[in-house]
Amino acid sequence: MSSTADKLIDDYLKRLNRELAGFPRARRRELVDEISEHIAEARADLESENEAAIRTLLDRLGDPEDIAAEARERFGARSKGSGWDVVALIMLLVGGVILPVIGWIIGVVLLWVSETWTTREKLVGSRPGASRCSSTQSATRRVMRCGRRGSTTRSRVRRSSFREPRRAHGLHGSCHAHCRRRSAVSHRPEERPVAHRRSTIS
Amino acid sequence: MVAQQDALLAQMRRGTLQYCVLSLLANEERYGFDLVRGLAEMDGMVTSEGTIYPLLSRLRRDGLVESTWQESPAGPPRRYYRLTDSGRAALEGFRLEWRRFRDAVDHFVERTET
Repeated sequence: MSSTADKLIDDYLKRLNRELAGFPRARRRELVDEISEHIAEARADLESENEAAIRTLLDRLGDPEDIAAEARERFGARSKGSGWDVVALIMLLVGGVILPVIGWIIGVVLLWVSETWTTREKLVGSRPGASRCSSTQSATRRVMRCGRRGSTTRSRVRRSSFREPRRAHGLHGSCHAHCRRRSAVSHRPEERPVAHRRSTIS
Repeated sequence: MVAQQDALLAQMRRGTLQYCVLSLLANEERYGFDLVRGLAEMDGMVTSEGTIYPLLSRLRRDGLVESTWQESPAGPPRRYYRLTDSGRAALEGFRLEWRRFRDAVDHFVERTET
């Protein structure tokens, strides 16, 4: 029996981990750890351990998708930080033009203190000239969109956008064209993402 | 109408749940599982137990609760949560507001009950 139980629990935690992809690694690990602690406690609390009891235990815990949705809701609608995220992006994109070198450095620092991006995205974003890279642009779209929507739609938007960096890899060619166009209108930062979004979606 | 009411209930639960968590921690430290079962005892407060953990994580990041590891009488160590001073202040503030709000709603809703 115990191997069936272990497998059910293992599958559940793996699914949860997958659903939380896109959160900073520390936060994801914290949530998965706490939920596996919960499972261990609940399991020890069972009168008799059988497959039905384990399934009931996991049902009570809820669908991993719902837990991830809750996490996005609780952390997605951040009040502090998101304004700085926009500043970080602007500095990374055009900071070097406004304040040579220093502007870009400010952008990199803000990028690394933010919790919006994954470590991989931060590494990509820190490369000089990264603003021409498609990953940075998808991250830009993500933050700009989050800032433009209400909190109810925000979680949905974040959810779909978490997967963007991977998808964006095939866009290099067209993105360079966008990039040149974007730098021409860079004095209107709030209008850029909309135009960019429409052109990539259509 | 039913769907609307469900959505409203979900919103109310979402808005007040964190204060229920803070209240449960007002007098004693609790570990995650104990806290979750404490909430689940009240009908209608928690639909799926796992969704409490993102909330706890958020409360900790906001500095309203803090957690420490403590040995358990049986099994591995447990992560215990307790209120911080700002958590206590937030709970106090909410209590006052909640009473006012509840009384105001009662004033209208109860009076017109048929």
